[in-house]
Amino acid sequence: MGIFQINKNKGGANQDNGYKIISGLESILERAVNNGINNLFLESKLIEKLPEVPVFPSFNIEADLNFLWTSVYSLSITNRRSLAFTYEQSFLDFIGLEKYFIGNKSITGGIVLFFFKNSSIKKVPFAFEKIFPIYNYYKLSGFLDNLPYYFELSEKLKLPVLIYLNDSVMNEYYAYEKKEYTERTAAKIDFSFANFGDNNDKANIICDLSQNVQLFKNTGKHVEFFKGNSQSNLIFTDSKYFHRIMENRTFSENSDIILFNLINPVDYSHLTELVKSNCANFYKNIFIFDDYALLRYQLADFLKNNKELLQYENLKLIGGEIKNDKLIELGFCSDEFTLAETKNLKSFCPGCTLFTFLQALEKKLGGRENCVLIGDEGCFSLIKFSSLKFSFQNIIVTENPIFFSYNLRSKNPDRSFYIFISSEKFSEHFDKFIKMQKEPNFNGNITVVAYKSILDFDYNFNLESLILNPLLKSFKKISIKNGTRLKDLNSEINSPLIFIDNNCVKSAKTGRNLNYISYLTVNNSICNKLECRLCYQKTKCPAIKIKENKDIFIEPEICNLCRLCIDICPNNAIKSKRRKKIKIKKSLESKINL
Amino acid sequence: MENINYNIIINGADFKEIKYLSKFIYFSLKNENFNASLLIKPSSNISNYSMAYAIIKVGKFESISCLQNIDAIISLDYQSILNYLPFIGKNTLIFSDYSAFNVCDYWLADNDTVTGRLKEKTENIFKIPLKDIIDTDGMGKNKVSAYIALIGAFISRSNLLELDSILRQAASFSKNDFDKKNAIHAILKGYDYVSETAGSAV
Repeated sequence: MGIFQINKNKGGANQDNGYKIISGLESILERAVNNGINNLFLESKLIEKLPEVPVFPSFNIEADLNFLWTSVYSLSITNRRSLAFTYEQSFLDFIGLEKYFIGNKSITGGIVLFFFKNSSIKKVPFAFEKIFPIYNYYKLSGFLDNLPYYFELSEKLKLPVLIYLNDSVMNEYYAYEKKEYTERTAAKIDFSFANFGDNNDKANIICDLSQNVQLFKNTGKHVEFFKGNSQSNLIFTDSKYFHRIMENRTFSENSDIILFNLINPVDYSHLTELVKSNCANFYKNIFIFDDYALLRYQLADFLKNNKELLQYENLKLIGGEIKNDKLIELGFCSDEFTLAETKNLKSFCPGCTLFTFLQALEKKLGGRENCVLIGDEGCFSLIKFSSLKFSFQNIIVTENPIFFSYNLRSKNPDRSFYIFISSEKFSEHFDKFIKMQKEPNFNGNITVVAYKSILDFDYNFNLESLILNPLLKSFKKISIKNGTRLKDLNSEINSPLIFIDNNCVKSAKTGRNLNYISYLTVNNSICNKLECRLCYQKTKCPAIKIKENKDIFIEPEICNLCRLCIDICPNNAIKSKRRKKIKIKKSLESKINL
Repeated sequence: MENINYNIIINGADFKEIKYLSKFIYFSLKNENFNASLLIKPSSNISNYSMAYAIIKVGKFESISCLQNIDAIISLDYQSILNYLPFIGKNTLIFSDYSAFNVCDYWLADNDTVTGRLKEKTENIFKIPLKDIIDTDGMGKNKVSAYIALIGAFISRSNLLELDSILRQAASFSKNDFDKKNAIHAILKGYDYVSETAGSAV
């Protein structure tokens, strides 16, 4: 009852003494805003507990907890401070807790969380009390003046600071003085080149590098560092960093740049010879930019073993993440280097079974409004880029389509959903898929299509082991084999679970088949009359070429023999043929060895 | 030799073929003790069939400010040379296959308008009808890609390399004697075709 009495006097006290009597929550928020913190979050369930909910322009009341924590995390990466009021359990139940907040080097701190205890507390799998700094408070006056200190603390530790509040704190009222606080300590970017500038002890070179690798990736300001140097440098670069260095003219004129690549012969043995030999007299600094980790591990061993040999002032390895060998082969060159705008858009690979499936689906459904396609960001997202415009009306591309459809509640029972997900992601979210099927609330038909994508990390992923999973025994399922043609597909679409096998990597990497056996021919007398050119427009196949007299032909050396163009052609102008064996007359020339 | 700056670009729709051609030139440059480097890039991450290019740089890296001028373009496809139009200078040599065209570019521009636009920049354009010159079916089992003839054409016009060094490289790349013979024949045919049309670039 005491609370309400104070509440009545609120107006009078405000006029007399220059004080403003406000609720506990509001007083914390006021102080936070005065300290320059504009990102304030409140869990929506907490509102029932509070006597008043203050109105602030930058105050977010969130019902979706996943969204709340990811936004707190993303704010911290970009050096912005944030403050949140939540239940304790919601933070500890967050899926990405270990991934985002514990031991993550990219986080810059600046997070203060106020916690309330729930009546029903589950057991937590790990001892979080030992990881995070934790405080308990029963009174407002105990911690309100220390608020800026907590932000500094979390920036030093790079961890969120947790503060437990008793319920009485929120129901407390506080006489708030109207004055401008100047306690604000600016959130500093924790990026310094101190470790790079003076390296007196060469023993620690490798240890220092591992600390600075992350900073390089996040800020991309490494180039500015070199501007002051006027000494002669030797620079080894990856193709990724090469163009940045060249365009910004970061190094002085005395420096020499060496670009290495997978194909380039500047390999490990060359490099070690260079470093060993007497070029220390000539070069004072050696910089090695190695983003794809082509040389790093071998060099690190070399540097450890030969400390006495090295007489350089600086010798640095600069690199990024460790990547799989297969990934390097696909895109080993710099992404930022563009010659001119190319007209080619991204398209499906020729012979893709997902593409034929989509075509069969389009034939069946047409332009129906009730059909919704939900897909992930893998090969399915190419549907927007493809030269052929599909007649599907509702296409949604999300990061995680199963999670998306899990929260989906449709009122229309006629509506049908098709969820396209790459098989690797499907195996990750397998539990949620089974949960989703058991839920009785859902209206409408769902069919899940799991396909093998070229963008998946694991190329050797075994699809059959996923199909034979005992949990999937009760489901009706169909697996479409690699290379099935359009006319065979039409009857197979009706099923709640569809697996599409794709021979992506092989079909993308097969080069010129000079000794081909069968090949495709085009009957140009039919083709030239109609000039539909559908075979090219739909498939975007590079094997389809044109002669100077406008005859179309298919180059057999590039052709994959997927026979998609045969299925598409409305006039049956394309046919496959077998090559006859050619007998060469044995001449004198062939016997002579050149 | 230190003062040489030379940029070569190989362009086309077939990633594997470009990889092969660029290695061909790169290693023959290396055998002559040139300071060369190589960069290959497919323009799309998804399909290796779509447009790709390779850049070969000869000389010190620092002296070239990325790509201001191109000295030679070897192209498997005629119309996509237009992508490099801002980098083409007066002295650039352009060698292109002129027997088959990728459909993707053909419907966007005519062949005549492409030559018109290229001629504004240079006059050294060599269109080589590879399908007419080289008979790949006659090679039998040991087939060699017809595009090697473009390298022969490139050598006859540029003073960078000699014919001997390229032929030696062809010999080292080939698997057997028949393979070697076919490759050398293909290179020589390209070499002859361009040198016969001396002074009168198409």
